[in-house]
Amino acid sequence: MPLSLAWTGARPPRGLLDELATGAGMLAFAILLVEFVLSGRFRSISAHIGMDVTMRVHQLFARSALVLALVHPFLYRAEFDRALPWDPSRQLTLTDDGTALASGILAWVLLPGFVLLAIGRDKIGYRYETWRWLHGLGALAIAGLLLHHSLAAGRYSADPLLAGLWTALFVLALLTLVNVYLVRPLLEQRRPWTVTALRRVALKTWEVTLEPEGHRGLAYRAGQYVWLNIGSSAFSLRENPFSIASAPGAGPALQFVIKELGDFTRRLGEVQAGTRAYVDGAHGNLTVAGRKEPGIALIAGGVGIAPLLGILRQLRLDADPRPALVVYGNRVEAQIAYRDELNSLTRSRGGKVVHALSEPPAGWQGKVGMVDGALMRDLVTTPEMRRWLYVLCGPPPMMAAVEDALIELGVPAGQILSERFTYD
Amino acid sequence: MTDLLARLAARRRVAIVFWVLNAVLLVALLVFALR
Repeated sequence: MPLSLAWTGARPPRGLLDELATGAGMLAFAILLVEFVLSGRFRSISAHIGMDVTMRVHQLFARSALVLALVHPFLYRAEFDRALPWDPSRQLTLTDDGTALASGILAWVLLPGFVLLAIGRDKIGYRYETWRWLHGLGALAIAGLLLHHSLAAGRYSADPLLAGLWTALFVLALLTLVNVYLVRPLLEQRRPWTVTALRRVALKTWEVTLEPEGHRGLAYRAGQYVWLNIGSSAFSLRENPFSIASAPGAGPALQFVIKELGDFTRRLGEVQAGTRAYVDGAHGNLTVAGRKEPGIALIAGGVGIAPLLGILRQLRLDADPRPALVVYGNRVEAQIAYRDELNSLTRSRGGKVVHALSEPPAGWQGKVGMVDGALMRDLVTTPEMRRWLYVLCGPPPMMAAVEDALIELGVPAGQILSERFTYD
Repeated sequence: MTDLLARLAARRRVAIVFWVLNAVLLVALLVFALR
């Protein structure tokens, strides 16, 4: 859009490299502004394409914006000079206004560091809240610098229409942050939840139950996830995405299965019943609602069982007669959660649960090894099963191996649903 | 070929969308610069 506005503006074009430089700069800025909307917190986007896709697109386009921004100043061939009297549309020179250039240079220096900090986020190991403040405010600061640079130094952006578009997009980006950091918490504060039970369901794995406080609860589909904040102010950034393990048809209580992994989840065992919690959601599209396939296979690795448990529970409540196969991979036997319930939910519909352990105990009766392509080839044995729906949730290597094997076995890609919570 | 496309679609659908959109942006940039 900025390019077409620049095109239709009344300014005559310059040489190829100068125009490429300007175009690259405008594209980089436009992508950076769109990134605010692709932050994974907008249900209208994540419910349709999934949070993992949204976040991956966000991460990949950050790299495109970075490349375009980095080449932008080096492509110019025009000289820095004051506007020449015979060149009112600045076809021959670039601005020599120090302030206009300084904001661009500062953004150019900050942007690579900002993107690298995001890519190396796990390796650097800063606290989750610190990361979110840094990323949100850092992005806004860079966008602000680029807005100033575009309006003050930009040739095409000097046109009121394009200047208006940049300003409007910047305000929109600002509003997305206001929405996430201010409006959402205000709404969440009016719909608080209470932790009513905390139960250890497997090794380092907890089940947390929340009840709504004075409201009717959350509208969601089995398999979706929410951003969950336990024990902090609604305005705190101490919230993490967790899949809902309960079924919407079972009542307003929400259940989560949480593994001790990060800085928040490690302290989970200390949470007391009665603690206030806040919920933002529901997000995600890992859901079988409306799917008509003749059978459903649910394939989980570790704590990835949470959304699949929600789906199974809802299938039973719906008296859905379709057969189900559950494949559940863990490292050791003590990590298997909800063993009896999974058996009961699956066998009642003529299905089975297949457990796989990579470190099995002596005398283990189930499968040995990771949930991988070989295991799927053992299990998907009938042509009928190629028409089933396959729902995957677990570590990325497991999902990649299972997806590949299912495709090889002739399962159409559209019948494989997956959602990743780890990127990069 | 169909298998390959199906596998790409399943595993790499985000990457495909990314590269297609990037290609569109680059073409737009070139058309803009060459006008």
